[in-house]
Amino acid sequence: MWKLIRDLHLWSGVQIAQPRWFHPQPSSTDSVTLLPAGLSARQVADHLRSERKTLGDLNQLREASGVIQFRLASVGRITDVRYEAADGKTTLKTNLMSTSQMINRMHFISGMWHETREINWMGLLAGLVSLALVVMGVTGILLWFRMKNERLFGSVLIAVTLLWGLGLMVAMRVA
Amino acid sequence: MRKLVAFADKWARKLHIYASLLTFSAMMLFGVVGVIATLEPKPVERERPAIARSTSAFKAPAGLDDAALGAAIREHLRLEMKHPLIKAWIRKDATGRPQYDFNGPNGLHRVTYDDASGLLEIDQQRTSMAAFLTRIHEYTSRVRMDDWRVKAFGAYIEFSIWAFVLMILTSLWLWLYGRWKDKGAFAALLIGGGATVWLWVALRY
Repeated sequence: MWKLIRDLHLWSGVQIAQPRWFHPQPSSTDSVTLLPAGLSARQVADHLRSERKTLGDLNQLREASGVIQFRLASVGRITDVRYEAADGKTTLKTNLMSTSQMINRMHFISGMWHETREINWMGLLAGLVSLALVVMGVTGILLWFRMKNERLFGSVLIAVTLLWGLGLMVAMRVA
Repeated sequence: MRKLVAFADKWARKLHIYASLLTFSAMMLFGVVGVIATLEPKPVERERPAIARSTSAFKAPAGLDDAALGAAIREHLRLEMKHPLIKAWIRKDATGRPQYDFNGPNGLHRVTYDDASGLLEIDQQRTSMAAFLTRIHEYTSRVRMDDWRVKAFGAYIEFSIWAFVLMILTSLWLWLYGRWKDKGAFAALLIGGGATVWLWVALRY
């Protein structure tokens, strides 16, 4: 299971390292719908989630002159919502991420505190994969140590990773 | 042909072992950061680091604009392990004094320059260990800090990313060549692949 998600993580890492190789372009669509008048932002979000399957966490909330504006942010889709409380007119601007952008955002999703159940599942999956990475690292060391013909050269490599990786982490932290 | 496959298998194993040993620190870092991120509370409920206040005598050379003054302060305070200032981090405080945010892996230095007293007022927020690890796991060779430790670490992470790609390819070879009938591997592939496809569709469409 971890392999697939690790692929996603690494693909995102490559994108961060070399963004010029990728040219993500989101596609955008506009739509208008009518909701009951006089709702709060939370109620509007709940309506959109249940009736229009517009998933995502509510953020960037602004209210002024009877107009509520907020964003429903999911992993592959961001919806900007403008709701007019007087008549319930709701304008939706939906940005669908490109494939590479979506993979990148999957990499950033974390935690299980989100308002959207599916995002929490994604967070749980990412957490399990992260735990598997730690387990894989530890078991990998044990498996390597059993291979006597690789012990000497492997020890050199371990020394390199500890100096280059862990050593620099300590050096940065104490600076 | 058989010799060629045996040769490829031998080197796939070796490369897999060497790549994993060289990237052990990065693998642990990514795993720990992922577990930390999973267990974190909502952003608004997270504890903010305490602020340590201090001052430093500093007289700015005449005729500097805000950006140049920020660069002079950065040099004076020896803040090499901080990102270069961007516009959003340069502003005025409530009394009109120039104020700068210097961000780095260990946290924030918010520095306000008081021309009348010739003092820099420094508010330092040191990040938690968890936040520190989260920040540094994102560094690559593109990180824009002058500090040699940060640059060397960014190079290590980028190297590790490529080494992970190699590990994935070699692990696929090792699975398909040696153990493609392994039911556990198939089950893991189906569960992981199924969950990913389901979440992909659910969160995109």
